[in-house]
Amino acid sequence: MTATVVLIGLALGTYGLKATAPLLLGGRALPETLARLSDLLPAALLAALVVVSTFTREQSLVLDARVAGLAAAALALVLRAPFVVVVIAAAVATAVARMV
Amino acid sequence: MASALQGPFWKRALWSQLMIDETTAVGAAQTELRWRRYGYLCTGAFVFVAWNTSTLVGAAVLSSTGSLVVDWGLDATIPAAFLALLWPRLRDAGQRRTAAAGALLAIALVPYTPAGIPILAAGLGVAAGWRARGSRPGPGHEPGGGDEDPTGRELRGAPA
Repeated sequence: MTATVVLIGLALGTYGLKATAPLLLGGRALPETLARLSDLLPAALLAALVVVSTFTREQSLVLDARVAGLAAAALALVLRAPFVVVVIAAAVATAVARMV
Repeated sequence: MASALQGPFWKRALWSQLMIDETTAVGAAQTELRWRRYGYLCTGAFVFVAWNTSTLVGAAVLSSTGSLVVDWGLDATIPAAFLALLWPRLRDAGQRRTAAAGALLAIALVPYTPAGIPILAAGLGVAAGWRARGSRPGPGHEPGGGDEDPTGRELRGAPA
């Protein structure tokens, strides 16, 4: 029962986040401050996701084979590899680092 | 994306359900309003089918092999994918500062806060890059920023 209520609440909340702009904004321009915010916010969140998913386990900071994966991904990006190659390089480097 | 998704209220309500990272990315990459909508909707339909198909396949085929994620290094694909998404933004000084501040904030908070909070708090990193645009262009950067605006500011406020 609780799970159902939470599920419905989350579904409504998620839909609200998605639909706010198209429903309220229509074709009007986003205010300058909001536009700047939506331009910068992804960089902060993506960078946070990168470090948190690489250097943490639960609530502790760790250094493990995922670092090799991230390094491989960065190298692939420097070499202008396509997205799929970047992701595969990270997986391979991590798997190899775990084997040795 | 809102400017490309115009129409009756019920249509906008329906289309909004497809408002995810992938649809926004493909839609925002187009220059004409109708192609923005086309990219948004086609990506939405494709992701819906591919997502559910691969979930079914994963559940049916892979659920018995518990260590697959660790053995194949699949856990490292997550930061790699995020890094690849972040990469093109790092050409701009303001974006770089924002990213660095967000990463530092998140990593500093991980030991002290429940999961999820570090990511949310990282949003405050925006303050670090807020004033950077135009005022201090990085080396090799054209003033005014070149092509770093993926949302196509010139399209905002275009007539219906």
